Parts: sequence; C-alpha cells; structure tokens
Amino acid sequence: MNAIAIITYLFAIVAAISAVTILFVKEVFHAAILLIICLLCVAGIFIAFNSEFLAVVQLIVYAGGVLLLIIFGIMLTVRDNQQLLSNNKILSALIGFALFSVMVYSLTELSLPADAGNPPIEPEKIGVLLMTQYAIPFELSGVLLLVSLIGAIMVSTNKTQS
Amino acid sequence: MIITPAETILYLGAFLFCVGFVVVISRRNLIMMLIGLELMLNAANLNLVAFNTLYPTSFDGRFFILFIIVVAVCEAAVGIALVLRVYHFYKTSLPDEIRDLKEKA
Repeated sequence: MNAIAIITYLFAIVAAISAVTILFVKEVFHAAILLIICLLCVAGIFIAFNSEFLAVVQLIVYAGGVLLLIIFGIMLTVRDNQQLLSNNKILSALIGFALFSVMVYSLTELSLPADAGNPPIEPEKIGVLLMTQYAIPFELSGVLLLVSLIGAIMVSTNKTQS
Repeated sequence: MIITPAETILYLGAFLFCVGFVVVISRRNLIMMLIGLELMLNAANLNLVAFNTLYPTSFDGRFFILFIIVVAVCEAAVGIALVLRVYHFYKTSLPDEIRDLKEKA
C-alpha cells in the first residue's frame, strides 16, 4: 500500500465521519464547522490525486468565502431553542439509504484500472489552458459571478426605504 | 477485496451525496439546507476526480471541478441573501412556516 492510498483512505474516513455527524448535531454552528472539516478532507484527497491547484482553490473558496457566508447567515438568523429535525426523520433516512444502496450497487458493477492516476498539472499550464481551450466556460463563469453578485445585492436591499 | 483509491473516493462521493440529500430533506432550517447542498456539490467533485483517472491525457474533469466551485459559491451567496431577506420578512428561518406569498392585511 503506497502513501497516496493511505492518505486517501485517511481523508475519506474523516470526511465520512464528519458528514454523518452533521445529521445528528443539535446546533447549526457545529454543522457549519463539520462541513468545513469535510471540505478540507476533500481538499486533501485532491492533493493525493495530483490536483494541488484545485486543493488550494477549495481551501481559499470554502474556508475563506463559504464558511464566512454561512456563519454570517447563522448569526443573523438562527435563534436558540429551535427544533432542528423534522418529524419524519425515519422516512428521510430510509430515502437516503435507498439512494445510497442504488449508487453502491451501480458502483460495484464498475471497475476502474488500479494503476492509472491523474497526471500532475503545473499552474502555468492551467493558466494557458484557461485562456485557450476553456476560455468560453471561464468567461461565462465570470459573467455568472457578476450576475450573482448583483442579484445578491438586489435581493438583500430593502427597497421600501428609498 | 482491495479497493483502489479511485474507487474509494467514488464510494465516498456516493456517501456524501446521500448524506447531503438527507440533510436537505430532514433538517428544518434554511441554513442547514444550504450546508446539505454544499455537501452534494462536493460529492460531484469527488466523482469527477475519480473518473479523470481513466483518461490520463485529459484535464477536462479537473477543470470542470473549477467551474463547479464557482457555481457553488454563486449559489451560496445568492442563497444566504435570500435567507436573510426571508428572515427579515417572515421573522423565521424554518421553511415549514413560510407559507404566505404576500403580507397579511
């Protein structure tokens, strides 16, 4: 067993445990912290699969941006003494388990080659590819960011005051 | 039976997707639903990394993850803005209690 396999198994176990704990915690704030633990483990898995740039993007975007937004939202909206779980938790757990069994069944039919791995990719090549081969999705994601920024400002501004 | 790292993260992706789905449908809080959505998007990212190992000369899967992260951030920003607006209007963040489209007279 090589180092990549050990790193992957370790991060996968931590990510799975922290994801399951989200289902059972009482407070929303703890769920946000557990979400970030899970996403950082995903970043570690990206490193194990030779995608260091993606891991750094994941770190910056999720630990810096999304966690900040979620904690900001929690502090502004969530009150104490809320009943967090809905009444039909057995039904939702059953639906989730059925979905998982279908996915696992279809994954056991599949066989990936054991020795294949992602080739390493340098940041210089990422920049060149973003401007040549992937230029259209790159520009479109810029437009999407701008539109969502304007939309978020529009939604959260109170128009009745003006 | 020994499973390879790529298959491990395929199973992890399936597991995270199901956990995120259960979080979305069973939690009675708008912020928890956003957290579940983020989990589901990351499960898709794990699948893309795993299937990219089948095509060692291509970078398509990993660039797709970059754009998925951009879309996830946009979704989180607009989602939090909507949650704040809904909370300001209804004074609650429980989706079950949001029933009216219009202010009561």
